[in-house]
Amino acid sequence: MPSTNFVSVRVQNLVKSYASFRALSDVSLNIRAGEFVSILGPSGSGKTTLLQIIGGFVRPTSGHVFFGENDVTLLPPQKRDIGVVFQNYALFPHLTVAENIAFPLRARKVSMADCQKRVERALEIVELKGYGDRAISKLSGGQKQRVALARAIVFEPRLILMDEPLSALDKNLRETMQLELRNLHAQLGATIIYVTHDQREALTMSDRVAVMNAGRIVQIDTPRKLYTAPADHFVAGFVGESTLVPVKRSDPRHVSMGDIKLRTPRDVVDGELFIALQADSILLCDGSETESDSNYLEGKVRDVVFQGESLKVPVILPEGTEIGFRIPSHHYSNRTLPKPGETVRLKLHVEDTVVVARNPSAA
Amino acid sequence: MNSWPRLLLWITTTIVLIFMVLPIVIVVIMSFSNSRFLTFPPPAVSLRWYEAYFGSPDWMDATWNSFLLAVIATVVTVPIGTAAAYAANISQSKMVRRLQLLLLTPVMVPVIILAAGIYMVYAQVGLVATKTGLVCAYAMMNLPYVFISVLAGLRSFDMNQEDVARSLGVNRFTAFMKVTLPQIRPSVITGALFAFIGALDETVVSLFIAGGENQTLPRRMFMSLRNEIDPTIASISSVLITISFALMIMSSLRGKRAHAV
Repeated sequence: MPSTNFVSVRVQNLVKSYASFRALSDVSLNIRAGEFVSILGPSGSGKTTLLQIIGGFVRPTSGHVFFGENDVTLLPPQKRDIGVVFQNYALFPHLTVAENIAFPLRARKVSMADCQKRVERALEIVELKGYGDRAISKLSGGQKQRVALARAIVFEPRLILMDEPLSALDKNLRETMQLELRNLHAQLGATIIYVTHDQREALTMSDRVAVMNAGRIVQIDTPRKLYTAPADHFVAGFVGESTLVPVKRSDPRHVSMGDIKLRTPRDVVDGELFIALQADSILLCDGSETESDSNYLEGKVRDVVFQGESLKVPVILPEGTEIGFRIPSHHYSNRTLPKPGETVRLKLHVEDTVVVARNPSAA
Repeated sequence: MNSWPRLLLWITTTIVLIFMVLPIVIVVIMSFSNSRFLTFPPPAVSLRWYEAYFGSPDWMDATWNSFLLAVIATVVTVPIGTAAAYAANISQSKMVRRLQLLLLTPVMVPVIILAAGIYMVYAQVGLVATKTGLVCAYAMMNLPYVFISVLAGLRSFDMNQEDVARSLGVNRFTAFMKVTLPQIRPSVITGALFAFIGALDETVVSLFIAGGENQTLPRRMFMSLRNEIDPTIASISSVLITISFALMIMSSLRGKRAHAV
């Protein structure tokens, strides 16, 4: 399928106010043609409102949306050429699979023969060949998802919008579909904007992730950068499985957490600071170990909780804060498993010692 | 153990059903009477009152007139009621929510008051005993039924579908016609049926504003009941009951078929 239709998207100073609250305040975003960008945020952060404005379903109070060089802010959805996939698929249950996929082609007065060919092609892409005559009610969740996808790409849209499209699927199917979506994205060269509250999904699939909070984009970066260099305490606390512990700057390269001094990978600017302790980057270590690129902590084990592929260990630090770390749950780690009440020594790589400042506008 | 409550339930259900059906059964039986008066039980069986009904140009005129008015009123009511329900369903404004209440007033205000009000207005503008006047009155009175029925259908309809349809390239009206309407059709049909039967059956308002050339069947029946008390009206009632039942059964069968697919 030719991918020439996909455009870049530019969102400029968008504001959306409702009577009693502000859903979006001054949101700007630049997305390259062919880029996969996720919008990640807790519910109520404005991510769906942003998607609806880009889709043309809602008009912004002020600001502009550009597709390529064209200002589409006031264009109704039917004139925008966008493929939309919603969480509940929103397939038309009174039409067959093929009729659903043909809907956008019919709306564009594509000839019958051409229409049929393109529907076949779209069904092939989503691996549902031969399903054209099925009723929607006879499909499984994953198949419905694929039909919705086929319907969104069959008319060669300029942009694909997805609003939590995988959240209704069970875990295994969701992970399969994530990889398929990634492949499809590469195959079509599509510009995709993907709204989700599931960070793993966002990190797996996206070229870049925009983290939203309280109607603003707090940070837009590659998945790795979100982890290693979160913009503020909100992003640091939202991404991964982290505990924020208040720290004080002692010199440009060191912060102190109670009596413990921790080295930081970059210079720290003074302010109200937190260290983001990711459960996955903290490791158990010997009492005698001293590596130059590690920071060491000590704490009292409160519990050891089996969680399937790993064990979660909540630890209380000397000054009273509870943090957590994970141990893989295979039998090798059973030999050295800490017991509740025991004091353990933990290490954290200097590069993983993420210190962030409090952002007063974020909750 | 549980037999007492069960028995009580059965008895109550039976009583309610008998109470619902008995008057209808009596009317239908009386319509086949050979007696000159409305008596029950009838002394002998005959079809003379059906002949009296179908043979009378007066009754036939009133019948056709009623059907014509009911059809036009339904055609007027259904799009308006559906549009109102659509607006009420998607609107978030408080004003619209209050207006919704206004749409329901025809079923909340006593009919006799409504009739008097309509008569006074119509007398001023010259709509008394006109088809236009009757159609408007029926449409107004039956709008709530269409509104409520369609709104119930829309409440359980996923409006995302319409958004998707629009993003796929059709305007809002086409999206409604091609995606929403086919799926809420049962509610629209139910609303239309209530509107039609309501208009066909309307008596009180018709007593005030029908008449002359624009006589309606229920009004004619009411007059006849007052003046003549012969079983013709029982035969007419039976015919009307049959038509109503037939329509209801047809629509419920349709609904069942749609479900089965």
